[in-house]
Amino acid sequence: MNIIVFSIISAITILSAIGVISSQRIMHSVLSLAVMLLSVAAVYAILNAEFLAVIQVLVYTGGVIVLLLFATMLTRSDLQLKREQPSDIKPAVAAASIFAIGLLFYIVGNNWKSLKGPAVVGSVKNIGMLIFNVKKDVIPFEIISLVLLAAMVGAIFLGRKEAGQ
Amino acid sequence: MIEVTVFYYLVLSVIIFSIGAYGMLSSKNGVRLLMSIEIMLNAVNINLVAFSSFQGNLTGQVFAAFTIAIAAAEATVGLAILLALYRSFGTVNLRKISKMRW
Amino acid sequence: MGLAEDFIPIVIFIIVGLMFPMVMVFVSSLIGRQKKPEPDKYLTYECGVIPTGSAWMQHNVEYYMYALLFVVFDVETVFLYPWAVVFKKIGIFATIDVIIFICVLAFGLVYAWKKGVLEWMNGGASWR
Repeated sequence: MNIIVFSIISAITILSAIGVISSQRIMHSVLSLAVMLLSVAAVYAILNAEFLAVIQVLVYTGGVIVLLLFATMLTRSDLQLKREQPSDIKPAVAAASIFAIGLLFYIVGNNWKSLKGPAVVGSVKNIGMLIFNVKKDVIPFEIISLVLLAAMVGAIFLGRKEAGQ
Repeated sequence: MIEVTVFYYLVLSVIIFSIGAYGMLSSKNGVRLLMSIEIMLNAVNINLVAFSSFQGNLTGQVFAAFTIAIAAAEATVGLAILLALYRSFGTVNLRKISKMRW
Repeated sequence: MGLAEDFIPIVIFIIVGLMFPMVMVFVSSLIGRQKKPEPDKYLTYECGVIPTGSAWMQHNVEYYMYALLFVVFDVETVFLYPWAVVFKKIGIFATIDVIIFICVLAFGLVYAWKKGVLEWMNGGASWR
């Protein structure tokens, strides 16, 4: 049962990830990215990481995809009207496959049998106890707000920059 | 019945990460490059969550939550830069954006 | 090993949600088949305005600005959920943390407001 569910979800994930990089029109690859992000949320769900599954759907599928769709609509270009011909594939294939083979050798070479099953439930309460624990993750939590502030101010500045012309 | 160990999740993560790396290196469109970066970040997150879940230590999941927040910030700024480039050059084709001064 | 049974309703929901439009389209193509539809039938809005131009037009950058603000405050809200759940157990210090968090992001909202991001282009804002 578990292996079947895992196989279905990972097949959807991999196929939609391939769809992102191989579809000709950029709009199709944005939609395919949405499918991929949803299936990654499903992977989190079968790993018992409930909170992460929910925020994956909320932040990625609800926010980042909308951002990508608007950016796609705003940057109408020749690449989107014509079919995109990927150039210089060879170095990219070489780099990605060397990377994949090296990592796969490392993964196969190790023994992962000692780690058993999803041993913990990442519920909202457990995550909250960890994030807001004074001794653990409060400082990263505060820094997240600074990062978001910097991103917001920077993006507004960039979007506004050439306004006067 | 085969048990799903952490090994399967690692293989899935490697495959997705390599797809993302290939897309990042080969795409000409800037929006697609940013999407490939999102794919790579998701592969890393799968890795983090798998180890966290299999070791019974939730810190990895908190880390993944922070990664998702950072990825949202990164997408925001990256797309804003892309829009600014589009305004200057009239294209998001990264092969054509090669002038240093105009 | 726990594939949580809690997710079975969601799976059923997805399957039903996928099947429903397929069955609807199939049945309506079965019983509603017309021999030769009039040309008006092919318009986007059959009884409405006649669409002009392509959808590949240049949209306003205001849309992007709204999506940007939405994403940032989406992330903020997502981090407030765990705090709301553990609020009673965790004490006053976490509350102060969350207030700082909200204040830092409120500063960003004030910046966006000052720059006129929240106003639409023809609403009198001077930037575009």
